Parts: sequence; structure tokens; C-alpha cells
Amino acid sequence: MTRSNAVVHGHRHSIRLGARVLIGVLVLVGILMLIGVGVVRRDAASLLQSGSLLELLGVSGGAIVVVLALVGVYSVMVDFVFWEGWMQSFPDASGLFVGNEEKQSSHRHFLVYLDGIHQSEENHPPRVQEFLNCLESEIDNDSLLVKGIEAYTITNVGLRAASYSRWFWQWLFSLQEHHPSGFVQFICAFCIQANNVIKVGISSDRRYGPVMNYELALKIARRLEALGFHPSHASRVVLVGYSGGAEMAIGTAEMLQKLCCSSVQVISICGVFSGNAALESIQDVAMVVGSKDPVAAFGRLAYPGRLSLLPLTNWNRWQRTHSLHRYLIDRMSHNGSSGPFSVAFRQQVVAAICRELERSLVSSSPG
Amino acid sequence: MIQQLSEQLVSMGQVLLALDTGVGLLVAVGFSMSASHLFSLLANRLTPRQILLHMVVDALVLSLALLLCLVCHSLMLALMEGVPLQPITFGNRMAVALWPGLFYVLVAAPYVSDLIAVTILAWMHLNMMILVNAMYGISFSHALFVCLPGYVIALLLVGALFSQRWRSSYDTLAKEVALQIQR
Repeated sequence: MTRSNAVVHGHRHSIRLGARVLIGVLVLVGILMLIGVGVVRRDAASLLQSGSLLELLGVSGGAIVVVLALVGVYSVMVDFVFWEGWMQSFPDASGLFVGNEEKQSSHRHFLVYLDGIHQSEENHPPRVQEFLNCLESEIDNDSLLVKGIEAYTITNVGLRAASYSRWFWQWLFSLQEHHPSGFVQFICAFCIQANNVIKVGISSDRRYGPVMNYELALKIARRLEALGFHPSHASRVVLVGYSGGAEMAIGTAEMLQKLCCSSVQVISICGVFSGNAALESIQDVAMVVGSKDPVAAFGRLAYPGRLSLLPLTNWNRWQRTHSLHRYLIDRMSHNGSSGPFSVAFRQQVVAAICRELERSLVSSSPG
Repeated sequence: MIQQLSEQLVSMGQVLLALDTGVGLLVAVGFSMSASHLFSLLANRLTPRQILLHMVVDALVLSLALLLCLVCHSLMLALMEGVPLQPITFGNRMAVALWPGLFYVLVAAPYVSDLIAVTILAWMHLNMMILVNAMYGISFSHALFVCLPGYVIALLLVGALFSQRWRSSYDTLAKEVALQIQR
């Protein structure tokens, strides 16, 4: 009784401390910003006298950069506060899969689907759900498709129940669902997607990526544990990532392989990923790409780590020792009526995934 | 075009001279830079008290690195241009060039951090050159050369501090993962 009280008290104390540190840091950032603005103000006033629109645009652009950076900083803060164990105790992975020795699943291959940046909750949009149903019906009986993993949150709860910011997300979801104005709904959807884009940015950041990817790998591992996964019986885990989900898949692959003690392979669908993540121990990575996918093409520019001009990046180093398998689907775009989940291309994408699953299984089998 | 650019740089130099904030700005820039790598301290699983202590120490070390940069500039000016060595007066007047560093905390933002860091550091260097030009009438090409060694020294010191913090946080993560695997 006394011990549990002490634990609860300690936990509350750490949460309060965490909140204070968070507020303290934000106040410090605010003060620094004010000092900065104070210094710039006189400079800016002299610049504005010329009435140049270009300069005004420059100041506005700067303000947008500052706001975006602060939002990004907040997002990183949430991940690291979780890692510190201040938000709630950091999940202990030492007992992972131990209870599954007797109640292990009959499945040997676990396909984990990680959705794109449009994901806002566990349930996938209808078009994605239909695609997943189609994929589920095509894969072998000893394979299990794991759906509904929120790739852009690190805790088991979604954005609606996230600590510190739940009020904001609930308000945003409420506006998105019930507001009569289409523009407001669009802005809300944009904010949710922007949050997910920032998470993709964190995952690909060489400083923050390792911690966030470990947290996500732990979340996936715990989900697999709940589904009866056990390393002694399972053959492999396949991460199937669509769009930004591909970055999360590639980022977590190596960590997940260590946690699950089982081989992990990655299949990206119209993937937008950085190539910054460590992949040395991952044997199989495949890409399903559309010939008319502008987003994936933009991703190659936004993430220079995949350009052949930089031979020392993790992606290019991996490619020198492993072969990347590409499945090009003609005329397929990134989303909408010509995207991978559309009726027109759904079957081709599923066929490409099944072919890759078969190929990698054959190539990994001894003899 | 070049003439116009040169005139703009000279007018910026006059604005910077008028600001004259003194070396106090160095400490604020140090704190901003220190705050930009707060997450490396969190990644190390330090307690709030330790984090605060590390942030203060880092801020002072970073301010010292920037001060060394200014002293270096002063030495270079004395060696190359024959300007009398007055590091305290020089530092007090040149510190204002570091004002973009107040925004260095934004380098904590994910993924775009490199772009922000390079922009801010380049801006600080440009300000240095402009101020040297405005104060001593040295041409921009000469000012670039005068300011380069000190700038490189400051970059190396700042880089060494930050990389040490992150290396230690990756070690913490590796230990955590290793513990899980040994189960």
C-alpha cells in the first residue's frame, strides 16, 4: 500500500516536473524570440521605409519558418518527454513476448501496415480499408496482416488522447467533423497532416530519428506481442509502408528486428523516405512505385540522402551491398482515382506485394 | 549589381554599428545555442536539475567559444591590417554581429535544422565582415580572410560540444536496446 502510494506519488511528481520543465523551456524560447525581435525591429523598420514588397515577403517567410520550427520543436519535445518517462512510465520491453511461449499464434509471417500522413486515427479511410481487405485475401494462410497501427504517435493512444495536447486535437477533430465550412474542415485536415509530416521529419532526422524510431518499434513490437507473435515460431515481420509510412517503416526496421529477434523486411508503396535510417542488417527492401507519382518524385528532392551524389549516406551504402527490388506500375499516381488504393491499381499493387513476399521467402530459404 | 550589393552591405554595417549591444549579447546567443540541443540532454535521460545545469554550462562554454572567435578576429586584424590590439573594445563593438545567433534555438526543429543552422552561421559571418568593413574600412574580400580563422575555430568548438552530447545520447539508446535484447 505504502509502496504503491510512493510509486504513484513519484509518478505524479515526475509528471508535474516534466510539465514545469516544458513550460520553462517554452518561456525561455519566447524570451529569446522577443530579444531577437527587439533587435531586428529597428533593422526591420529601416528596411520597411523603402516600401519594398520583397522585403516584406522575406519577413513573412521568416515568421513562417519560426512558427514551423517551434511547432516542430514541440513535436520533438513530446517524443523525448515520453522517452524520459515523464509523460507516463516508458514501457519496459524486457518481458516482451515472454508470455507468448504457450499461446503463440499459428501465423509465421506478420505484415504490419503503416499508413500515409493522412492517418489521424486507428481506423483507416474506406479506400485504404478496401485495399487492405484485398491484400488480406491474397496473402497466404500463415500470414497475418496487422492493421490500425498509428504510425505517427509513439504511445498506444492516438492524438485524441495524447497527453498535454489532447484538448487541441479533440477541438481540431471536432471542427473537422462538424464544422459547416469546407474551408475550415480543410484547414483542420491540413493541420493533422502537418503534424504527421513533422513526425516523418523527426524520424528522418539523424539526431532525433534513433529515439523516435525505437519508440515506434517498441509500439509495433507490443502490438505483435498482443497478436501472439513469438520469435521462436515467427519467420519474419514485413513492414508495408505507404507514402510517409515508408519512412516510418524504414526508420523502425532495424530496431524492430532487434526487439523481435526475427528478420524484418520493408515494402514501400509510393514511399517518401529519407534514406537516413540505419539499414545495415536489413536484407530485403522493395519499392512499389507509380510511373506518374509526383509526391514520391518530390521526396527524392526533399530528401537528398537518396541521391547518388551523396555516396556515404545510409541508403546508398545499403544499396552497394544489397539489391533493391522495384515494382514499377505504369500510370499509377500517388493517391486519388489513380493512386495505389484505387480500383484501377489496387490489384496490381497487391500482386506486386505478394510477388515480393514470395521472392524474399525463396531467396532467404536455405539451399 | 555588385555596386548595389556593396552599398546595401555598407548600410547594414551602419545599422549594426548603431545597435551596439555589447558582449552581453554573447551570453544570450550562448543560451540560444545551448537550448537548441536540449533534446540531446533529454535523450541522455538526465534529471531536470542536471539538464538545467548542463544547459547553463553549455551556454557559458558556447559564449566562450564565440568570445574566442572575436579575440581571433582582433589578432588577425592586428597581424594583417596593423590595427592596434584592443580585444575588449573590439569584442564589445563586434558582438552585435552575432545577433542572428539569438534564433539558433530554432535549430532544434526537426529535419530543417541543418538549413537553419547554416543560414544563421553564414549570416553571423557576413555580419562580422560587414562590421569589420564599417569599423576599419577594410574591403570585404580582406574582411573575409581576416574573419575566417576565428570563425572556423568557433565552428569547431561548437561542433565538438554538440557532437559529444549526441554521441553520449546514442550510447544511452544503444545501452537500452542492448538491455532489452539480453533478456
